[in-house]
Amino acid sequence: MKGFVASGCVWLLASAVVCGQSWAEAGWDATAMRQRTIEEALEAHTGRLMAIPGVVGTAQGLCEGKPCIKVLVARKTPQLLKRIPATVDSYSVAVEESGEFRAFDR
Amino acid sequence: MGTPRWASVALFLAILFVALAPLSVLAGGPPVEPPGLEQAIAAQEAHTDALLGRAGVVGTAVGVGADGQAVVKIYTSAAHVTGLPHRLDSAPVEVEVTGEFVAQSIGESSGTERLIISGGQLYCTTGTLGALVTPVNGTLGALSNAHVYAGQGSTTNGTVQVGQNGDWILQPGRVDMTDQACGSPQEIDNAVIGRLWQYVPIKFSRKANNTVDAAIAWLTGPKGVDNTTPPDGYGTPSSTPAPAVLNLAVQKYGRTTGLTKGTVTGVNATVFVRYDKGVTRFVKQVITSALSGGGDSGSLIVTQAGNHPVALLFAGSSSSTIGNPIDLVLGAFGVTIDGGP
Repeated sequence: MKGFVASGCVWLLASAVVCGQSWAEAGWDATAMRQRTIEEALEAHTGRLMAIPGVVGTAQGLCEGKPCIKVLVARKTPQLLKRIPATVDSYSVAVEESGEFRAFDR
Repeated sequence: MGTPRWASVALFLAILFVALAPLSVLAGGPPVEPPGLEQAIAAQEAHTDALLGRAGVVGTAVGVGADGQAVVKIYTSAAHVTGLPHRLDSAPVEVEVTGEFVAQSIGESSGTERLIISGGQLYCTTGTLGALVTPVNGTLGALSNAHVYAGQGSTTNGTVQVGQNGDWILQPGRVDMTDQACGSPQEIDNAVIGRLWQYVPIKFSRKANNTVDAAIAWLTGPKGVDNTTPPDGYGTPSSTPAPAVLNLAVQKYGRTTGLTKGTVTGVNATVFVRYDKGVTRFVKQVITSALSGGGDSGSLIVTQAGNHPVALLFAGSSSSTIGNPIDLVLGAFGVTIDGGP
């Protein structure tokens, strides 16, 4: 029984570490890491977020008075919303339908 | 062994539950990424410049193929663009015919001459002259966007401008001329206020790190330009910039929508912006609530309290406006705003 418990704990510990690493590598959350500043979080995740087709921008914003990460999209669609995380490095993510940005000459 | 059997079963179930918990979080939490995303991003990054150099290619992106696999998308202006790869490094490629990306259509001329309207010599476009700056060739200069003064032109060498330093800068811009569509030669002659002094070329790529779309003309000739907006504007900008902070109350005066007010809604922004020839990326940008429309490019965004310059407006959508942080704009040329205290 002792052996079983010990091997279970080792396995559990290992899986937690692996989960932590893949979480951090996936980059959507860094609960396993030191708390990033919102600037660092934006820097770390903007490339990945903007690689999602339909995302046209990211920015640091305020959501109900708290620092948050804004993800600007051409059009809010259920498929797109599914691909955007609710939080990034523990900062809440607000998806805003900005439309596409154009140079404003005429 | 004194441990009862029910206890070991409970322990096993507890371990199983704890071990599986992260999986359920995964299923409900972050998005599931398409396989091959890293490779596709890397391939797009490595090959975009070369791809955009090919005739008929108007853009690239990373997308998801029909099989759910991440792909590099190549956008073309027409069908039958030949010689495009089927794979880039290890990433599959999908070619999509999008046609050329079109900027906002040119509307009818308003025929109204306003002091701060401006445009370049080469193209029938117009924008806004945001502020006067100093020193430029020992005199005053007029600040606007590179795409207003130097046009959007073609994409030779990966940049979008083709204007030359020394080109005439006109006021009003050619769109707003009245003798004939885009102005008669006489009307263009009479509209010259200065010459293109310097502009920052815009790198044309979805991985670009552009920070400013800015150009300066030096003022020449008898037709003077005042550092103050027309009477229905905010007046004279301050020469002391203010950093963009969230919720800051700002305003601008522009050729198309005149005086508008709003707030800063995003800072440190990375955005894709569509120009005539496609989409490029800007970083470190300032986002405000909607302040502008086509023709307002080049407006100076200033604080409502004290008219302190915050950003140079250059793009936007129906719901947001984007500006380059003014310190980056002024720093690119080593100039300051000619204005009040």
